Amino acid sequence: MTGEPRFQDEQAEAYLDGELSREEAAAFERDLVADPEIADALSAAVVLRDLLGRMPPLEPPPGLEQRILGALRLGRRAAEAGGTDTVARPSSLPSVRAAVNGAGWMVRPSAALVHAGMESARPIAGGLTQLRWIFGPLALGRAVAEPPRPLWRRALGRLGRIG
Amino acid sequence: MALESSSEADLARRCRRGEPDAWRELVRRFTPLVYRLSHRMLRDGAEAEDVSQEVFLRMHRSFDGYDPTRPLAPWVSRTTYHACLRRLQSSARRAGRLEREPSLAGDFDPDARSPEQSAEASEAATLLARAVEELPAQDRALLDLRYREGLSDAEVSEATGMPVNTVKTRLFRARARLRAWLAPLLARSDA
Repeated sequence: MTGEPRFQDEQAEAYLDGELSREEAAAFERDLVADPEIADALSAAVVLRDLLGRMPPLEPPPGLEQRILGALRLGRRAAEAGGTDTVARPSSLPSVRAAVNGAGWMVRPSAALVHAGMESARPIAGGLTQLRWIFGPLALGRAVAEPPRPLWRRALGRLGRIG
Repeated sequence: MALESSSEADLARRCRRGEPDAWRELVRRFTPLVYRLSHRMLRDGAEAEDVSQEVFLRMHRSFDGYDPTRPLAPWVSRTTYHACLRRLQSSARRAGRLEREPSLAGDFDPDARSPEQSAEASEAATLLARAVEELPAQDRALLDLRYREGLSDAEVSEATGMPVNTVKTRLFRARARLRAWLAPLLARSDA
């Protein structure tokens, strides 16, 4: 599935990571204008990074913070310093106790998570407009995911890839 | 100084002194990071919750060994990363293979867009989530730390214990795999 990375992909990634010297970056930007393959590589790298930055937010479930605080039995360390509190070692985490005792982890059955809409990944109809939701924020300067370098924005703008 | 606005170094010093309020603030600040990273690696909400508690307990026990002049996020990430690895290794030993969980793409929130845009965003997110699911847990963690949590390569290195060059190489390969997986989508963006 992977194949060998192409030189232009490596260059595009290095450019976005800011790993090219000033001279190398300038040369890359010149090539960008002249070579559609390099422009494609940069576009793909930008889109991929943008998508990665939009991965599901995965907020902690309600109450987790309180459960953690409960497990910590706050005040224990302060009590150790002051010698007034004798909160016992947390006992609400059998998996931790088991690990500490060298008994391995608790076995927890897999969560039966079912996500609707994952049955198929339908092919997406062609056209740049299909990804305008990705480029749109870039074009508008509405940094959904903060661009790592302003250089590529200017470079893509010169190519007309973003507004 | 209010704890909410205190610097990490100040927060760390207070935590070392065992101030309950400082620990509450630490938990408040870093529970999202710990849970997200755990969920990304373990692909199981219940396991991620367990690990989240374990991580804070471990930090609580070992905080004296933390250098308060260092940023907290890589240290918290490292504790989480290794807790997840231990659990994955234990699961793998038990089952002989890692269990697969359904993708997270159903949770994707494409912000407020038109129905058409939302459909496109959802499909792209679905493809990406499926591709990410195909990556090893360590690579998923690297991508998460680098692109979602915003850690630098050096901080990711600190968090995972991998040399910086290894981090860069693995990230590059992970991106290459994702790019290959998403090639049809990315190619259409240039059509």
